[in-house]
Amino acid sequence: MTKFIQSFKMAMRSISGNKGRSALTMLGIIIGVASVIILTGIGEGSTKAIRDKLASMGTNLVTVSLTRGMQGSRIITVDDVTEFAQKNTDLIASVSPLVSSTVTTKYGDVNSDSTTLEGVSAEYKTIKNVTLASGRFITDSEVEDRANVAVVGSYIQKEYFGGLSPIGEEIKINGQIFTIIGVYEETSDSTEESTDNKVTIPYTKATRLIKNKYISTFYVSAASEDAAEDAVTALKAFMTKKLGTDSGFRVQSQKEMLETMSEMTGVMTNMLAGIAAISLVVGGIGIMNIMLVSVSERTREIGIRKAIGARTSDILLQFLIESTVVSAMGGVIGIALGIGSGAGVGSLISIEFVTKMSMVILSFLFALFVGIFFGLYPAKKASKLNPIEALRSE
Amino acid sequence: MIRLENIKKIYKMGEYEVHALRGVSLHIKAHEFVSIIGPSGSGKSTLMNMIGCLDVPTSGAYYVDGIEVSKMKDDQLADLRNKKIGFIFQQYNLLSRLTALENVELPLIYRGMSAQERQRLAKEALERVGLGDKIKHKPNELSGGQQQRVSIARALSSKPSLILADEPTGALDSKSGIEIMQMLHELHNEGNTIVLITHDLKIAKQAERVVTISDGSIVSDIDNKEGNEVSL
Repeated sequence: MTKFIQSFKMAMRSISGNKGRSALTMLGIIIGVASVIILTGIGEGSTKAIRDKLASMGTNLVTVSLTRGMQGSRIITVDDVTEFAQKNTDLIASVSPLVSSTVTTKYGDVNSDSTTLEGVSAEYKTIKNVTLASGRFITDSEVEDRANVAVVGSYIQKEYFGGLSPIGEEIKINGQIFTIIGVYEETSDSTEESTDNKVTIPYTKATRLIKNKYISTFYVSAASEDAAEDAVTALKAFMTKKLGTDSGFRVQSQKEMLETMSEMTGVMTNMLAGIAAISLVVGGIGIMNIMLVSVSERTREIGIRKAIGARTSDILLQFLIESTVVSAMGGVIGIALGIGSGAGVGSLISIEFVTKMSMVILSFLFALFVGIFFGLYPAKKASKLNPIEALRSE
Repeated sequence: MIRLENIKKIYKMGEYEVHALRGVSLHIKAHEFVSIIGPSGSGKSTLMNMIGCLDVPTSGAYYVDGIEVSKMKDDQLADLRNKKIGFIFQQYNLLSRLTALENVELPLIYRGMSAQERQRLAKEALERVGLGDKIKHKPNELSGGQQQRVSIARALSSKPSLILADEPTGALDSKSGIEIMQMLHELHNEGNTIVLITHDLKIAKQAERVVTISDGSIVSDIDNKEGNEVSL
């Protein structure tokens, strides 16, 4: 223990005796640790953003969808699902079919041929937690009447009507005239490629407009958040019975979707951390490089120490502690830098920066490991020097 | 005290074999002051490395305080050097980053001694060589003679069985050299065993026994009790 403390003191002295060099050596570790923390912090921030967004869409939501091969081959009608919902009011609050397609929209001489079309029922508004900037949503009677009414995205208000209120105006969707009754709140940036370029009409009208009477997706709102899992189970059983097979469809709760998304962004975050960790390894090579220089510069010192009774392990420990202290100090500075600048970088790319304690600890431990791993070879080299030859060196 | 029996050391230089020592036998008793003299290339340095337990012979036996050294491993040799041998080098060989006190403490650190005990012994040794007021100085703040005295203190601090001085006056001016030789005599009179390696006959003659080595063999071993006048 005395020896250990002494080796530690010696290491500190040698580091402070060569401040410029030590700082440069640390820089590799500092950058490595800081980038691990910044990248994982931003990754974590975007995961959180996605999670919040999904949660805002309603945690009661259950999506029932026929997968590609099944579409149109077996029929699940709106009546089937509605009837099932009415029988299971303890599990299911409401249902909306979803007919989706891409259509052309036109107003005056402005048009877009990549507008997203959604055909839904009146319940869609509550199921998906939709907020409107102005106007109102589709009503039950409009669905029954197959009325030519549409709720439009903010892109359409901005581009087609120059930002003025489009309520009551008429717009052409796939050549048919629809009256605009409401406008969605902006969800992204109101460009043609964004989710703001969309029109929502009664599903009864939508199936005729796109000439496809088969509905492949249903949004179901569970009676409560706790009932969501049971609703999934019940809907799966219902679908299996209706279709006569347990494949070809998917029933997924928002919670499951959330988990899937979290998993995906988690993988991304880890990938980013992995890339940043490479720079830590490069920093470690820097440490090894400097330690090798240091060993050859201090050959005589090693010779003296050995002559007066230092064992192989004493010399090994001294150099190993030195490289470990350099990497530990670099790690601490890197953590401070990472946390300090992470928020700034985050706001620059408008993603919230989230400091993940486990990553802070992990990156520090990794830096420490790098210091030990890359310090081992130079330290071994130093400890194996022959004292007679070492004493003879200048 | 120390006993060398038919020590041979052969270095392999590619295809050639260099016989640095060709069967040296030497017995040094406790409290002796022996100088070993020889020109460069005589095997003098190799012999010093043997006596100082820095190297092991190719053949032959070597005993320090009755302990057989010639078959020891590196770490055993390190421990033995730490406990039994006090080195004084021509170039002082102090660590420039450490203070005089820390330099003197060094062998005691490797012995695993507590800080308190270590500092007490180191201070004592520095006071013994007359540097009690310079314990916080670094080597570059001291004169050559003072640095060599620090190195003597370092050799003394571990209370070794044998003080091994390799050309201790070689890098010093004559006045400092005389001081250092005087100190060695004092240490001898206090009961220390001293082996002095030199190429300088005038220095060698100050010891009570002079061993001359040439071409890897001892050529003379003279009792020299009278030649004790200190000079350079």
